[in-house]
Amino acid sequence: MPANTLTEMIMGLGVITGILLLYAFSLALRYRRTKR
Amino acid sequence: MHKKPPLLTLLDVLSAISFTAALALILFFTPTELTMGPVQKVFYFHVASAWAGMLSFILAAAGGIGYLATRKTRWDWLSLSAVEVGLVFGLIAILSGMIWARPIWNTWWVWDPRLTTTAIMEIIYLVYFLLRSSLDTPETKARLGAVYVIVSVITVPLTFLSIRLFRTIHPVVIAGGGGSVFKMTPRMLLAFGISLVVFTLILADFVCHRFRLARLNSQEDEEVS
Repeated sequence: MPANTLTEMIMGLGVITGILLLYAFSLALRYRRTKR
Repeated sequence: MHKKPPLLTLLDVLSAISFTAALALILFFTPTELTMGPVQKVFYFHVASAWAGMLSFILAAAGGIGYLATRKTRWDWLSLSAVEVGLVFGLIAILSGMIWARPIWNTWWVWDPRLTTTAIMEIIYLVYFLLRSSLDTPETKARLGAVYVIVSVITVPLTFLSIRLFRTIHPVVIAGGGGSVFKMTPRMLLAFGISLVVFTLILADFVCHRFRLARLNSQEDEEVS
């Protein structure tokens, strides 16, 4: 029977998605600020 | 002021859609690994982000060579952008690997050759920004930065080959190394291949956006001076 690691899977995929979104947001924000 | 090219907007949309599709593929299409359970699914994006990070550092070195050969600032912008994006992907690889390791190795971190060389690579590229901020003129930043990224790229093959050169507990995805080889089913292989393509797309998208920002910053500096 596979180990019960559902929490870790959610945490792992959540961290990956979160960092990507955060970086995309930071790029957009920095571009807007500099443009102003 | 440069307008956003339509191709970049297309790349944005393509990256977002393909990432969502890859996530759905991993969650609902790939089988649950028999021993590790659901956490194994982190592996697809973990390896893909490590791949994107390394590719980005190679791109930075190419930018460094381009700058030294031509002295054109756009090569410096490319290096700067690729290093920053590479650091983001490197951070993702390290954090997702730690989350995977917690239930599988029973520890967040171990000084294994692969983990150690990845951490060293990340630190070396972090120092790139310290080096740039300690220099005065844009020309010096670009010249020394170019030399730095060219020398630092040695950490990429070292990190990649670490599981083949040294004894390690890190799984080997591409067979032929010293660690335990992780064998994939056809569905796993498909999701793995797609993840690599998706992260390469995201890498291209991020580098293009960071490059635009670097160009805008440079124009701003010129206007101020």
